[in-house]
Amino acid sequence: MDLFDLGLVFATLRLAAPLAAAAMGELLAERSGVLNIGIEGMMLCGALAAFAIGTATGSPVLASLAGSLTGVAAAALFAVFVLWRRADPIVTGTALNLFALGATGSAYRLLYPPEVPLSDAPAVADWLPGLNPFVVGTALLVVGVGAFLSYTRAGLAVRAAGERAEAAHSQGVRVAAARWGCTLAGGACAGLAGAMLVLWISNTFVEGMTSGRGFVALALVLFGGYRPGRIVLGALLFGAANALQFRLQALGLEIPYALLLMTPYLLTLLVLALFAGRVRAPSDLARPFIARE
Amino acid sequence: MLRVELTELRKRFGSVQALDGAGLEIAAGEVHALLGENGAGKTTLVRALYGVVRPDSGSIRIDGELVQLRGPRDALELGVGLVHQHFMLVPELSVAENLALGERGGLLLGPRALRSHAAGILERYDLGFRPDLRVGELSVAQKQRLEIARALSRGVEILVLDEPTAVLVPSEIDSLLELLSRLREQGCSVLFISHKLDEITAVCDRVTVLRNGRNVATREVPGIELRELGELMVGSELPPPGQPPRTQVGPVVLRARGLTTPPLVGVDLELRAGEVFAIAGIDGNGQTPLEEVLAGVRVLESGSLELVQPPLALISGDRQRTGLVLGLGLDENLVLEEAARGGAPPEYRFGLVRPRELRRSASAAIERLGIRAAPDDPVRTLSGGNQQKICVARALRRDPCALIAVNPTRGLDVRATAQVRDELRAQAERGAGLLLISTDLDEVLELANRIAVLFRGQLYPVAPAEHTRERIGELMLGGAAA
Ligand SMILES: Nc1ncnc2c1ncn2[C@@H]1O[C@H](COP(=O)(O)OP(=O)(O)OP(=O)(O)O)[C@@H](O)[C@H]1O
Ligand SMILES: [Mg+2]
Repeated sequence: MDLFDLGLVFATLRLAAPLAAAAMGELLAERSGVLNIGIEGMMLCGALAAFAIGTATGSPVLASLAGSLTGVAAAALFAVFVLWRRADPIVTGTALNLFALGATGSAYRLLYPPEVPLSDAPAVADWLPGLNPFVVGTALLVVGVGAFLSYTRAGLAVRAAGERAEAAHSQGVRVAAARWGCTLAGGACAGLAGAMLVLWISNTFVEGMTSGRGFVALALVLFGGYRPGRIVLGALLFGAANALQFRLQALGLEIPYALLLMTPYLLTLLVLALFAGRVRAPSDLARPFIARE
Repeated sequence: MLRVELTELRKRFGSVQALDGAGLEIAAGEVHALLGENGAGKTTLVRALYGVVRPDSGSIRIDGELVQLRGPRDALELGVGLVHQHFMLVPELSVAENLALGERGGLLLGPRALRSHAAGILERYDLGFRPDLRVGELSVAQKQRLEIARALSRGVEILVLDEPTAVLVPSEIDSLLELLSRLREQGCSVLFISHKLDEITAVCDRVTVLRNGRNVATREVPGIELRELGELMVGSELPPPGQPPRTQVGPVVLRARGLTTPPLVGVDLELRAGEVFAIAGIDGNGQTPLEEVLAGVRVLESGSLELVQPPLALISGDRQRTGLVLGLGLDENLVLEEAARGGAPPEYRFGLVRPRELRRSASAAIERLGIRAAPDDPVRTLSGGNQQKICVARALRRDPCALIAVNPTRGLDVRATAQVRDELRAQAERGAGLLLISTDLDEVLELANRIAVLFRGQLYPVAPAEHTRERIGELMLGGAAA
């Protein structure tokens, strides 16, 4: 087996797309002023739902839809606490992540006892390898989010809500609506990313299978300077490094396995940190907004 | 016909009764002034009319209809526009984006549409800046004009201006007042808040005076005397304007040579103990860079700055941006600077805060300058003038040898202005050097022993014989450069 070939490109896309999708969800939320660190948990919920609906119906489309909607539901839970009750987003997000890890694990074990074979998980991996619908979908998502933020009236309102909620409000922008909308849409992106992991990468559900991808997405948003293009580059870099790392493992070189596993994370952070320049987060990020005194 | 009727409005914030039955009526085509001391409740009243503050009781009628405003959106819908006392612009966004914010319209909003929309407004209201400039880069006066233009571009028929002239220079004030008369001719109603009594007599039809959240009086303006207005406002006679301090000028306390950073070019200045040296000029000619250089937060391209006699204290020209930490208490803001610079304020011992001392010195400052707040109130909740007083109080705390004051009485009421000017004079008489950077000619003439004019980044000294309103006004517009 060669180190570099077309397969590596596909592997890169496969590893990068879920990250990019989750990062777009985070980007939307953060630009509206919501620090959503529950992305990881939302992905996990989406993954389990996609698995359940996928095995039940055999339809990857329905499975993806279920993943997204479950992501929205998890995001709604987050928003109730953070936006409505004005709880701390870090605490709430951490709680959501822990809850999602435990709940999806327990639910999985309850629903699918180990003796049940999982052969009928629907896989989309074997569709046209290059033009995988998930690749196309993620690309559209990235372009869509970027265009929404930069070229629409609502996108301007979202950015203003994230930068100066009070000023936006005083011009008639519905700050709460912008934040709720972006948080829920972000949940949909995260749920979809979870569905991709199940339907495209592992073809099954495993407890805690997101293994920190939600947090990588979080880091990508920050180091990508809140710009969709750069965030996607970061995701691709991470995907490529990861794909290469799997290759190296398969080649059986004398490099410690743990070191290889670590390199994509290190490399991505390093490159992004070097090229990001000075990143400025939205000014009102993670600040609750009270419309009426 | 009455456009606006506010009746018996009450609003309580914690322990402060900001509005205590205040009310107001504005007729169609009327310019109505709202007058009152710092903390009297003017801002709270107009914020209630704009739907930002929900009154505890009382009623709001617009065009005779009783309305329940759920937010600024409703107010704008009814034709009410508010230009806030503190800017409601998004500094991170461009001028064009700020102008488009909240406007109804099509789904898409590309850069071209943004720019042409903005260019139209900028042209109509004669604002000479580029639509793609970031609002954070505008000067205070430019921001103010942008806010006014934005409100007007919304087609509001009831325009509320909360101390719009506090940051404008005489020529700009004149054109604003002219604009108000034009709006009146078009049938608009205007509610105008200002601490400057001459502005009120210049354009307003009627004036309502508030004190402690209550109405004191509503009067027809034509024929009213300035003195009467002032007395209605503060409840006692107004202090007469002061004179520059007469002191012995001592050694140099602060020396700058060839300060150069755009737009400043080779600014030389020397500040001596016991004098008030005023730098007059229209905002935007280098005041902010000069302040930043003197504060040590801006890198010089060339030139040198020497503080011969520390300590130096600064009253910042932009209280909300660089003057205060809005989320912290009044007491914490007072000691913050000294503590952060590694000084040993008496409120600290072994690096630990002594809460009782902190409270005591905050109460002393409150007492001294008549600040309407409790020692631990977050600064954000204070009225604009009271925030300004904290900046002043902090600068005077340490008996500085060099004191830089940038528009120190911006937003203060008549009485507080006189009081702060007295305090500043006292500093010079004590032997401090006071560098006054001000856009207010009255202030400059009332305080300064020595005057220079800042024009397009250059400093033009004014001979003592030329210390007149007319001559300095001329120089401010470039009379010396030509
Ligand atoms: N959001 C708030 N929370 C708590 N207190 C507030 C709040 N807004 C205003 N206040 C208090 O209400 C009182 C009236 O304030 P307001 O801003 O209406 O005064 P003002 O007349 O506009 O004064 P100025 O001339 O200084 O701007 C002040 O004592 C202020 O501290
Ligand atoms: Mg006010």
